[in-house]
Amino acid sequence: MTQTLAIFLDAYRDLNSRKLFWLAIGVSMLVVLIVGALGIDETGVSVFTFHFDSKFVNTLFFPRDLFYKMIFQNLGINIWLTWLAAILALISTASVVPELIANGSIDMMLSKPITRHRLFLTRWVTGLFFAGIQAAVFVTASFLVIGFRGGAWEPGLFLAIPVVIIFFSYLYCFCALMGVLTRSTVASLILTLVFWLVLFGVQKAEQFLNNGRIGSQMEVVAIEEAIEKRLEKNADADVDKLRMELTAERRSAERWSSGYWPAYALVTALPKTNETTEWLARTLVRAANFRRPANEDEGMRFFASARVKRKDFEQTVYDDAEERKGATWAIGSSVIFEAVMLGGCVWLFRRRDF
Amino acid sequence: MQFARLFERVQEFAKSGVHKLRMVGLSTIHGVTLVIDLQDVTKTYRGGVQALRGVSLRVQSGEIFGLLGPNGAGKSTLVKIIMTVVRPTTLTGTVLGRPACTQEVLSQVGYLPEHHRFPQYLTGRQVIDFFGALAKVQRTERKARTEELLEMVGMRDWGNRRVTTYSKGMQQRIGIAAALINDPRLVVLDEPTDGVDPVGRREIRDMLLRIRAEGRTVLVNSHLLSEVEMLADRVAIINQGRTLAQGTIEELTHDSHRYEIDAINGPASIQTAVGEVTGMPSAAEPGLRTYVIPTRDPAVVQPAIDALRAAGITLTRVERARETLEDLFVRSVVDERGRAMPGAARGPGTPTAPPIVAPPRTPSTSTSSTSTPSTSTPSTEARP
Repeated sequence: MTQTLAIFLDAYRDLNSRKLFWLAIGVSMLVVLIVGALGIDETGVSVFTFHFDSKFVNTLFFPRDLFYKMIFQNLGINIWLTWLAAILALISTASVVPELIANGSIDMMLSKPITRHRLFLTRWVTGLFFAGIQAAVFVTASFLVIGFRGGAWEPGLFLAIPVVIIFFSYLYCFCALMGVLTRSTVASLILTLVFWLVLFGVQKAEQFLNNGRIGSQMEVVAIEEAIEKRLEKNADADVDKLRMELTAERRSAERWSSGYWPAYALVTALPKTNETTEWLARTLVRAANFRRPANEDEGMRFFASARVKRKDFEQTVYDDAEERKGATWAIGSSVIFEAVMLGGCVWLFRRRDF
Repeated sequence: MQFARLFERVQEFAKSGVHKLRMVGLSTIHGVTLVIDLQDVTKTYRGGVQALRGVSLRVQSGEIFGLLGPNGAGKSTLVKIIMTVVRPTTLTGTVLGRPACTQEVLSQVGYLPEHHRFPQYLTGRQVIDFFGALAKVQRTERKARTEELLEMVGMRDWGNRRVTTYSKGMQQRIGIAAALINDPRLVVLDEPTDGVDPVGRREIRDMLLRIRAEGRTVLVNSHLLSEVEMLADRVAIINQGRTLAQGTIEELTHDSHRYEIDAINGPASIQTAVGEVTGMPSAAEPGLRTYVIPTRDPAVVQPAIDALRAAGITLTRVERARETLEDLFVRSVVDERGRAMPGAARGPGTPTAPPIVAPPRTPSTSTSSTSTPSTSTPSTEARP
């Protein structure tokens, strides 16, 4: 315990000495303060003492609490915590492993009665400190703003802290592995950002294929219903054209499916950054009475048609995600990937001569 | 009655102190306690570089032991193996009576690596405290000991400054203090005076002597021969991954004892008790010849002096001499053609001379500089 506390205290001192740490905390607070400075009433919105009339952004359309929750969701989670703050955290902590194994530093550490795997894992966990402190500061401040300004006290909001740490840990385990392999802070940071980009691309591709698969299946069902309806009205009705459409759509649905499942398998094997934050957004609907996140993916409209309404399509995609992409899939399988990465790190760290 | 006798015997045993050594399991040889007892240490790095090819090392309790060798000889690798930083390919032996290269030994060992890097955001006091905590020293003990050590290394007034503001010498002092925070029985220092000015070097030397006086064993890895010669009780010379020589400086240079006689216009050779000795003409002073008589016995030299004096030859110098550590070192690591032998290499490497290993001295008999190798001790005049 003495050793673990010492390593954590050292990590805190390290963070404390970095300007970037305080800059990130400062920006987090500033973002929340700006949100807190926003006000909403029946006639519009206000910033500090300036009032702007609005026919759409007012409490008649948005209850006061929902206004702040939406800002937290769209700005806080989707942009700040899962992108900007995560990048700042990566920049700040990418050096933890390369500095640990740097010549002169590692000799001092390994000559102490602490096992290599414990040393490495404890140091790695301290790297999550940054993301943890940053998320805790931001979420706590947001909780207070939503409470005082929105009048809704939602302790479920604090679920965001562990989820953001887990989200960051997906990237940070890869960063640690690159740190062990390259011994370079810059290389491990760049490779991690590239890895993140690849993950983003793979997940987006999977989502696109999933949308296509679901859209196509809905189209098949809609055509089948249309044929049934027509035949119900008139048994001798000409449905050949519809049947031809159905055959073509079924073929299309098969193609979407055959493309989708390999992508799904790949995404399942990899850490799911997007899916984890989306899971958090869905969970906050239940845990903190958030409004169901609006799907702002304009690509959705391509999968809607005259037979499949966009709203129905979005609902089906949402339900599908709720059913298949729960915490076990989004977080559980990502943590397995993380465990494999960390296992690799520890294996290399234990075997290496320094 | 029997129980009472048994109790008495246990008490006698406890008083004798013999059990202490047995309890800690330290190796002994010829009655000498060994803190480090390693045999056949080999290390082959990936790519086939053989850094160590069967090094043996015996460091006795309470001594300062100097590890010498040219660059690439394998000294640092050996030190890192002892400190578990590098894993050996093969190794047998013990450190502090326990299997070498295991975690359990490390709590009793202090280490200052060469080119150490302290966390830049820490002060000197925090560095000592941090490494103390890693060595599992409890907080209250750490706090008290940190103050003691800062005082000992002369850094009390600088303890609250960041290590980035320190000179090299100050960093070394803090490093030595950090190495001592866990009250170690064995202190391993890799080039402790490297990059330190002469005044700082002297202070570090004094610190090491104080550490030895506290009963700790010190293993110093250094390429500064004069430093080691002043400090070390015993040395080992390593080259090409092998131990070439090991023992006290006196033991290792025992065969090099000689008398040198300078004479003006002396004969080409003179007859001595150890045979005919040819005089070498001096390049600096015409007419001067130097006769080197390989002996440590002054009685052997007297007939030669008498003969020269009887012949009316003027003697300008009669001096007892022996190899310095530098002479010994150079003799050990330079090949027949006078070239330095390379350090670590691929493959089996060039064959080297059989190692010069002196048996460990027995503390109770270490009194005379003219004693036999097995009982000799380094000359006291070699110490500062």
